Amino acid sequence: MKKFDICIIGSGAGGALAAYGLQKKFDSIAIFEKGDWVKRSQTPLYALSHIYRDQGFVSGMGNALIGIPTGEAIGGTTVINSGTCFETPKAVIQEWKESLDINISYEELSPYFSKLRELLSIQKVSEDRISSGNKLFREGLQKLGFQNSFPLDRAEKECVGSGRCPFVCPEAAKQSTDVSILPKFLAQGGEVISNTSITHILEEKDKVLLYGKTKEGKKIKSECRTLVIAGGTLSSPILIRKNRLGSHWRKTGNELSIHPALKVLAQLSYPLESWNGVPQALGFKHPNFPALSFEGVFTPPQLASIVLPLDGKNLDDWLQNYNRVASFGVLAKDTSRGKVRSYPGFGLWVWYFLNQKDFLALREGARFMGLTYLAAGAQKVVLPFNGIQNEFSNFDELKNFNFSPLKPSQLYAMGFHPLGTCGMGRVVDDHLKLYGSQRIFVADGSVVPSSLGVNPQITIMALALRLAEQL
Amino acid sequence: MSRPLFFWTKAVINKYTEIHVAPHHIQKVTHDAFQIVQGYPFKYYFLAQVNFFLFEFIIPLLFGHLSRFSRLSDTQALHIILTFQNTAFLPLRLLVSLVKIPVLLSLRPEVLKEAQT
Ligand SMILES: Cc1cc2nc3c(=O)[nH]c(=O)nc-3n(C[C@H](O)[C@H](O)[C@H](O)COP(=O)(O)OP(=O)(O)OC[C@H]3O[C@@H](n4cnc5c(N)ncnc54)[C@H](O)[C@@H]3O)c2cc1C
Ligand code: SF4
Repeated sequence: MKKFDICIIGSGAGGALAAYGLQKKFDSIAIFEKGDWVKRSQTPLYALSHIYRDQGFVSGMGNALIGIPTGEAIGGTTVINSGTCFETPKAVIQEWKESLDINISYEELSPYFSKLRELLSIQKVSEDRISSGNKLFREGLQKLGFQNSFPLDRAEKECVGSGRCPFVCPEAAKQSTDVSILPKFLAQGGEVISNTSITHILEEKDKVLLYGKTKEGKKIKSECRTLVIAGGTLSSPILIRKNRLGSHWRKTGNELSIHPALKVLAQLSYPLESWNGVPQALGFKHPNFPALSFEGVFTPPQLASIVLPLDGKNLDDWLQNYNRVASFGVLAKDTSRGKVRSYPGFGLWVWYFLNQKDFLALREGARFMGLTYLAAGAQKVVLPFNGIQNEFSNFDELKNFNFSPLKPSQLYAMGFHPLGTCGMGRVVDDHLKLYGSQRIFVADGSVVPSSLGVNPQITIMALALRLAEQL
Repeated sequence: MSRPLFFWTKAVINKYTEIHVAPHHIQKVTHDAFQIVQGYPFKYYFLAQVNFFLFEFIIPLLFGHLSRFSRLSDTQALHIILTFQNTAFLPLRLLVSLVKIPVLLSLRPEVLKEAQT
């Protein structure tokens, strides 16, 4: 049995940064990671079937069907994310203080944001790498009188704009943690134990015991003085519940927020090749929809068929003309909540109920994106709805269309940012220590206690660095 | 070793492929789609086989067709797919997604019927 000062479960945004920070104080640190190092020169379909958890099938079920993708690899979901970086909004930190009594200030997190800027080489997307689909959206915004779109901050180094960030960056330009953090951790003597899933955890007075198995089925056992659980929002609560860790394990898995998101596609009369350039290059805030954040997105051609809410000739038409297609997305700072459970014989199950407020905001956000592309000269747009007209080629028709019969179950929605299932103030304290435990901490998306309204990796990483400093 | 697929799974995949794909590309597309189902995580592999059974033998009856799904005309088969896709009843949307996904993931623009005309 191997013994370590610190064991960390998961090598994604939270786990890798916790490991990196803790290395300054502790000699022996091991990260246990279910997944493997990624192979870079593979197709998007390969990434979907090998890196996405359950091949991307994981979905929130309730009154809507919302895909909730996460990554299982060294680097976790950062390997398949878009690389976009936002600091935790000041208003959200204030919200935590006022409604959840969480004692963290923006000033306290600020040095970690600066550190992350350096570690991840965070920079604004340069004009020449903004994909044509994003530029077209900006043109549409300008025609509608909005001048406030902005280039997004991204974790990247020498990005060549190959357009496939969510399917493993082929150039290792995106600064996922396997590229930016873990090589440093390994160089300083840290251990990454890959292809190894931790299944059981036992906290004793002076140590924590970990039990797991390798991909080949070999059982492993390790011992550490302190454990950091960073398996992600969908996994950490299951581990804590199953092993009844701490005193609040019954509360884990609840209060899930996901940033439900929609995307609209537009077809132009001329080639755009939106797959060239950074797919998530521009952001936009609409003054009338404060809960919505608009960001560029583009699905590579090989996977386009699964994101189009169409079939028959209409689907074929979009697929054949995919070189003339642009797309943009919107996410909501959700007030809806869900929960994560594991059921015998089935495994992970995610419940999520989209409330009317979030649903209506998203519906109108999708309409706005359609209008923006039509204003920019698109021949037609397709909205992510089923069972109701979803293709429009006329601006006024879309503007005035009555979507009131639409229900949440008719959306083609995704939730890329699951958060909150071990929230601070509910399951862990302000210092991320599991209530009722002496030796177990949580450092991943699950501790973020409310919907952020912006992409979460920097918040997760900053909280992990803060934990490392405080431990 | 690849997992087995029941004949009804192959039949439904073949029919849905026929709706979109030009005849001389069908074999390649269905081959890829079979491999995708075989490679599903076990619970989805299992669910998919049950789902394909329902599609092949039961669902056409609900639409008044005394026929297996794979023997319907393209128009009849597409009508069933679209009806399920357009429903607000989630379980049906889930069923139809499981039918479509392996084929959709195997499509390339150049194999589509429209591209051949
Ligand atoms: C398509 C997509 C695009 C995104 N784009 C952005 C973006 O542009 N910007 C942004 O800020 N965020 C983005 N995100 C979200 C962001 O990447 C995640 O929120 C973040 O990576 C979550 O970090 P985490 O530490 O909670 O978990 P993860 O990064 O998911 O890491 C958890 C790791 O733990 C491992 N693990 C789980 N259980 C066990 C176990 N029992 N034993 C061993 N290992 C285990 C998993 O395999 C995984 O590797 C995106 C997400 C997706 C899916
Ligand atoms: S655009 Fe291409 S090179 Fe740049 S980060 Fe994304 S995948 Fe990597």
